[in-house]
Amino acid sequence: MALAVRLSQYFRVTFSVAISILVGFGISSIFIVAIGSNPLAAYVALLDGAFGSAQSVSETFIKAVPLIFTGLAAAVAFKSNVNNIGGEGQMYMGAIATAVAALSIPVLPSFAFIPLLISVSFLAGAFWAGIPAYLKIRFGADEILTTLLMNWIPFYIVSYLVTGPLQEADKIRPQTDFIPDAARLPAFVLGYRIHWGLVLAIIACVFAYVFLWKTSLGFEFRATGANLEAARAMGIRVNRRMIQAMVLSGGIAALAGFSEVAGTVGTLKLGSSNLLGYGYAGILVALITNLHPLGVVLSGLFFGILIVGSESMQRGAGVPIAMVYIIEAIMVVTIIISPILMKKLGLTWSTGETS
Amino acid sequence: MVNWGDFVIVVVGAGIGVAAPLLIAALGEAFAERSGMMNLSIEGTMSLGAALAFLVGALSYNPWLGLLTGMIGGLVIGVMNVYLAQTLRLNQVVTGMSLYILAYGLSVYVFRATTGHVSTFGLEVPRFKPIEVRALLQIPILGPTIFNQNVLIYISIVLVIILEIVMFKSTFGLRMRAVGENPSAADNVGINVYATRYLCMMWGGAMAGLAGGYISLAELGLFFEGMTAGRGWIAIAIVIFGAWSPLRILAGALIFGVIDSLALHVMVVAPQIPFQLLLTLPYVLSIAILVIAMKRAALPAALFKTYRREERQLG
Repeated sequence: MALAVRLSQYFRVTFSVAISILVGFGISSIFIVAIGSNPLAAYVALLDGAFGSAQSVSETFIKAVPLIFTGLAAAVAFKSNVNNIGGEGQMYMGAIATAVAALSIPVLPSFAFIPLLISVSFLAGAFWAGIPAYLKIRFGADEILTTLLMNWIPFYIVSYLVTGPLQEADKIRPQTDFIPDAARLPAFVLGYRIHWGLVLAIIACVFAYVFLWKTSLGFEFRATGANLEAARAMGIRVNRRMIQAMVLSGGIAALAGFSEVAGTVGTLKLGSSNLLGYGYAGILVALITNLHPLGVVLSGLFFGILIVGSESMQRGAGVPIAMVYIIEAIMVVTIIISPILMKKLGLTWSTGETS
Repeated sequence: MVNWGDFVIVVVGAGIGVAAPLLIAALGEAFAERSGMMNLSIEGTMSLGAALAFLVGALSYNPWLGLLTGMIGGLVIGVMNVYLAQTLRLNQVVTGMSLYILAYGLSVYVFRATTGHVSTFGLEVPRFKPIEVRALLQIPILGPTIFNQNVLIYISIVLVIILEIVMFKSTFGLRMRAVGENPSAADNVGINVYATRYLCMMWGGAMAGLAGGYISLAELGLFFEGMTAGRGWIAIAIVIFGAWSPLRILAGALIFGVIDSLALHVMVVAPQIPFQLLLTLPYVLSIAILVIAMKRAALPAALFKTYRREERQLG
């Protein structure tokens, strides 16, 4: 019986999200019509770009990897009452740490090198997120603004490194040398670029789910997020939990940078850098799943589809790539307000799990 | 050899220019926050304002029409934000971030759809240029700093004074502050909480659009993706530093502008310092400003809190 109830809840959530996505595409059509393009043709081009060939499916999954990491980072923080909007900068810190470590330490065998790089990048992101956490607890400086403002600093650090001390040996392009093969995440389907970063990202989400929902420490994180005062009254050391959540979140966001440098790209670069924007998109990725770590896998994939598809939407239907931002934002709003609107319309609605 | 007197004059003169868009955006945000609403979308709103102002300014060859369009674009984003956050009661971080991405995307989208390019380094636009009154320019020190600015800067200074009076000396200002401090008490004495918040958020959005228009029409004379470079967020930091009061916000924006301008000019006189280091300065400075301000900040008590009329305390 309990199972049947849960299944029906999952069904309702899935149904509501599916309807919201359709409505979202419907609203987005207004912008496509406004520039004289055909929305249907645009969406066909979008789906074709994301799924048209095995190659494009691989690219869609590749784009999803950093989004799953940054989405998970945002979910963990928001769930614990810390608004970490600094995923972008923390991701850059992870990318910087990965590139610097991979290029400066002697080459190790993969089984040691890759875990080492994961740890180093995690620590770099955790450190970067630790600063605003400290400023919040010690001085009361609002973490939304401090994390945001700290996004620009690693951006310029990358700019400095790849045109200065860490520039490639040829000194032509603004990027570092390629990191050693032993430091690269291997591809897991021969002939395609999709790499083990995807598996790592999914494992991270499962770990985060188990941690938040199945351990007592994780419960304290969620309690802090659900109701700060109640959590404090229960004897939870909320300040400590918020610092820990922020640091954990920063470390996870850094893994997005790690997977880009060690997996997808193999070098740290700027300008054509495909890092730009994943941190901000990650916040939306987390929001549309109601901050659920396992949902982040799906929503990260969804955003991957939108990003890869938007390129072919521009080629095939003449819709500017920036349409992807518009669709992303509209999706977040439609998915979040659908339960509220359904309630207003008098339709019964159950949100599944509470907090 | 650098002439230090001239150097200071150049730095301060440019610093006022750097401060202007921050000041304009912050003046709008201060009202939104005083009414209890945090508008986190202003970075994107500024970008949208910049794009619309540039496009309309270039197409009509009328910069004022451009600015007006930028403000209307900002106002629309402001209305959407307050509708989602107050009427539908969504979390203000959620609405702010979503609308930030929406407005940012729209700016690039509209620009690309209209011009066929992502940025314009070719399209001609009438710019707001410094007003050159010879007699005033020849006043030593003040001439090249204060009297060598464009008309929008003088308008914003006048605006600061008007807004200071509106906020602290008018009935509307009193009501607005009441709504931000204790909305249920304000409601009990007959102040319309929703209307006040809608008005303040519309104003905040329009001012963010205007700030964007300043950047594209007065400061740079062009538009490109990402041109606001975080100045929307810096404006929010300045609101806090300025303790939500127009006059102090003016002071905060000027201090910030002059220090930022100093960094940019150091770049020219001291090329051995990596320029990237100097470019991080505005953000480091904003964080420092926040930390200092937070020690004595008295936030509007209802900031970030959605007002729920059914939960109000009667009395």
